[in-house]
Amino acid sequence: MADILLVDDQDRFARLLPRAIPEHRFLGPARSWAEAREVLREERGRIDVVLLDVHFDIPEAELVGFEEGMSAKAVDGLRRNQGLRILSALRRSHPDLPVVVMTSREGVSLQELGADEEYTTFLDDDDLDAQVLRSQIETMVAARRGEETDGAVFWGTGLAMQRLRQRLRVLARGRLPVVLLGPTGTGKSLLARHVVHARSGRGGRFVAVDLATLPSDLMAAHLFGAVRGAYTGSVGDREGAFEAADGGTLFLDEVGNLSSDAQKMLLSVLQDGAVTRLGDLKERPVDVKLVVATNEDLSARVRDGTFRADLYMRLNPAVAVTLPSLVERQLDWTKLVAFLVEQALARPYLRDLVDEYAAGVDLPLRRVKSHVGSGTPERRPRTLCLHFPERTLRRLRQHPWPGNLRELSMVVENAALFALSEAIGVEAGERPDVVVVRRKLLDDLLRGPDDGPDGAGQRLEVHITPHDTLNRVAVSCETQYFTQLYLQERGDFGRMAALLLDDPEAGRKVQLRFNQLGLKVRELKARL
Amino acid sequence: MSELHDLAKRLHHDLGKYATLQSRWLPPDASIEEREEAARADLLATARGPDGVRDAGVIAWAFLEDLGRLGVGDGVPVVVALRGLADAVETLRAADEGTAAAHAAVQGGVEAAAALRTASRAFLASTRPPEPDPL
Repeated sequence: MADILLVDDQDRFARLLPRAIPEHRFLGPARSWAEAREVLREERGRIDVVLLDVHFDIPEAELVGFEEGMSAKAVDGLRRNQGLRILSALRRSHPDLPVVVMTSREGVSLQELGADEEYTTFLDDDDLDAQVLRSQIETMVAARRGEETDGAVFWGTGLAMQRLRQRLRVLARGRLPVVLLGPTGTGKSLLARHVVHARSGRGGRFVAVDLATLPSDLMAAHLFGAVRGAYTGSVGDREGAFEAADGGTLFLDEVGNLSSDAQKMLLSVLQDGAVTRLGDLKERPVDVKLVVATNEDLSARVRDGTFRADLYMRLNPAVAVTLPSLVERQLDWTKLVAFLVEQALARPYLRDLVDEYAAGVDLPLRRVKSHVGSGTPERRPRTLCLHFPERTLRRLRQHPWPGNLRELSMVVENAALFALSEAIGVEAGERPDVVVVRRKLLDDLLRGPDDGPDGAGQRLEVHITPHDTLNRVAVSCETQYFTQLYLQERGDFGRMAALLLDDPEAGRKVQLRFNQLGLKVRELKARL
Repeated sequence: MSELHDLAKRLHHDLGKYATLQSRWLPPDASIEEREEAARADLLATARGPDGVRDAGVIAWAFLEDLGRLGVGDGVPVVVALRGLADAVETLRAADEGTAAAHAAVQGGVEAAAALRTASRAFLASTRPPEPDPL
């Protein structure tokens, strides 16, 4: 529940709002700036949002800006725009208090009023109804209360991202599919799991399928299931992803990779609410919230005939949610990096390193925290602090981040890993409770594959967690080697085969292994 | 043009907005009685200010006068809608509350206010000054 101050000379909204939006508490109406200021003083920071009318038909002495000797016309003008005068006064005393102004923004200069778009929203009367206002209030309240995260998702306080969050929450509750668009690494799968599934109110499982890694001849069986003998090698009945996600959410990543057969079958499931396993006649009802993601232009695929138009329309494209790239987001880098550091420090292999470091410097340890940005980390009992100083943070801000949030997350995790590793065994300085992530380390981590000296081998960073099997370690090395080789050979599988297998004709074999490792050609092509 | 646009803005705000406000904000499950009460408030207590309560008819006549002064005459849709609203409010005032005639008058008033809202929006758009040429 939010506390909302209504500033309006009339009492109609004061009567309407509690009934139309009963989940919030409405105070007022304050009929002038003097009354509004008094309520704000009495409530001492408890007001979450101000709802402000513009036309105030009040005695002239109560008008902000009134001066003796003003003409009747000037006073009328003052009354008609009194809300903007109040907004200007409000901004001087409460610069970051969210305000919804109930009028069109036509002809209004926010700059002249000392206001900004971050905390000021204009709702044209023609757009203003209970639903719009409710949504606006919730968005602003979430931003104000610092609700910057949803589990593993960092939203920040920017209004654009808060609006996106609000929209996803609304879409999560509905029955229709949700389409997530945006460049690679922007967090589409995180949103599918931590926002859409989490907010859907569905008790079933969250099942994710990456269609870029599924061979097209196995796609239909994987998604819809199969009975024994349905295809060569089908030795028993198997449940598909749709049945596994029954009552829950099915996330199809890279939906543009759906084979034409699978497209046809998916359309049928969406139309009938039932799935038929390959080779079976029996329909099995399924209740699945479908979320699909792609960084392709599906409408273009429809136009060129490679994606079914009827399926495209069934996916609810009109309300597709597009995620911005990292550099497009107005970010509070300090908070984002701190969020990612905390996430990284929760990983068991890093906790092991932290314990090892603490034991080496005789630091009794209860918790690990981060300090990002300027200033010296505060000394706290039994606490180790991982410090990203301002210079290191600046280096992060300067990077173009083609891999977006995923890349940043990996760099931050690597930075934590190497900073801790390098500190182990080194004699502790004055502050053994602080491990600093230096800019030099970031320079090394952010150096691209082409930045190395000619002829020198490329460095591979291998992520290993305790108890990893030899197979996992090998796969991790192989994945990174394949990635670098693909970039080096400009995506030519024949040349890769010549190097790897001494057989330029074996490109298909290399591509198959490439797919098995979960590497995505489309994503790597974007880096060429 | 600017004076006309200012007048159009005031008209859309004072009548387009307030003569329909409470009716538009009613929840979908509101009863017929609630709808009628909201409509009566919209039409008969449209504005409150230092001069007291004014109904939509009085406000409509004031705008008709202002429009006439600026040369906007009969036949213009917003003028027709204003006259329609003024007549509907007069009919509503004359009807005895609770009678079938009053129910019909409320309905007539709601329709006239909705028509005025549409006409005032179009009028506002037609008086909007052109965007300055960026070149």
